[in-house]
Amino acid sequence: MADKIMAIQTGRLSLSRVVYHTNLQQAAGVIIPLGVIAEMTIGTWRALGLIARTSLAMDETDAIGRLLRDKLSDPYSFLKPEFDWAFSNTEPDEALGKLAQRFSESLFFAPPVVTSTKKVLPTGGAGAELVLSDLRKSRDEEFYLMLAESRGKPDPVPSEDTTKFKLAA
Amino acid sequence: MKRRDYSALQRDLRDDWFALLETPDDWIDRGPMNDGESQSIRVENAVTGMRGVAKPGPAKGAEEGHCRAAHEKLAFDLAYLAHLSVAPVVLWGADAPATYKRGRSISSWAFQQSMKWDEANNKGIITPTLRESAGPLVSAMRVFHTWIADIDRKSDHVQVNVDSPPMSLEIAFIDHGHSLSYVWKSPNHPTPAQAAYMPAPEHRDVMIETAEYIATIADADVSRVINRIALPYLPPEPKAHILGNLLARKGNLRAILGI
Repeated sequence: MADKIMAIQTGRLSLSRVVYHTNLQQAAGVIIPLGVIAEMTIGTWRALGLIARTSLAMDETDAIGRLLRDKLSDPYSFLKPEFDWAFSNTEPDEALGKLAQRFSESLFFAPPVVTSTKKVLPTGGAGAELVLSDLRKSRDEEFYLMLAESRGKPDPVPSEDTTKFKLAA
Repeated sequence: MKRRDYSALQRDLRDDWFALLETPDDWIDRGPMNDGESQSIRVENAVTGMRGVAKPGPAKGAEEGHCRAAHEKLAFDLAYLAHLSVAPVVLWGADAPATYKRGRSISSWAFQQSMKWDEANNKGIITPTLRESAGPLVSAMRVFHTWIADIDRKSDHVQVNVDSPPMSLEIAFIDHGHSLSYVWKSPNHPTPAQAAYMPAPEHRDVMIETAEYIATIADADVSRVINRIALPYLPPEPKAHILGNLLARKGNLRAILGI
């Protein structure tokens, strides 16, 4: 039993909300919630997760500029390539910051909110599953909180999610 | 010289901020822009709710040798005189010179909805037709950037209007901190032409028209927009270099560009 328990591992959890600003020029502009992206690095693991809406309400779609309206009608499909890009092209703990640099205008990845985390991880697949489970839980809580804050009610919306993980080093 | 098509609101803002040197209003810090060397921040007008971008950010505030705010303001003012598309800019004196040795500028958002050119291109929203439609303004701006010696141009410094008409891409140019006295350290400072950098077709006729129009801008008008900027934004020596180089290059842009 003892040989299956690793030492205490410290790591970081980063969360970014992804929204669309329909009026950058005015504080009163409508902001459409799209999704949440999360990154966790702990021990030898790096995990990245995305959850996003798969459709928008009619009034939300109508508020999006002509050139982007169709493409953004399914936010999950629109954001998935950026998630894949970040997983393949950024170093551990840098994914969300890089996305925030690239998308700082109407399509807006918020600067990541980072918290420290500390866990005892089992070795092998069980450890990876624990990391993914924690990442999904934090990501989804943030997503539904964002929706509730934005829409004023905690009703569910159609959404889809994905996660990826690999050894960080 | 063709006037650009701006919305009524944008026309009003361009006129207002060309007339206005320094904002008298309170602006609220809304957090970092998170995307550039100048460490700029988002700001919001405490009364009107108007939003903009202030630079430099706190990390660059102590710089005394780089008059970023003055450069941003002058690039807009000179573009206004040339009827070109630089997002309106005003100076902001809050915490200057104590924290911000050369003050700050506030740039407005050119459009209600925008993306950086590169990201818009990556997302496939710039069709060949739209890219073609941007050619004339891109060509005109290459002449303008040669005039003001802007050496920091890249396609990420171009905002695309996400609500552009289907056949005509509306764009605006931002980030002019690395121009003017950042480059000119003496009178008649030799400065090459701005190289072509935008992935849009170049129109030689538009470049010639722009160069000839800039040559007709009165020396007095150029002098006025420069001389009204004082300390802490722009010390006398860089101000003199800016004025001298702009006036010397103004009628010589076709030769500099080889057109």
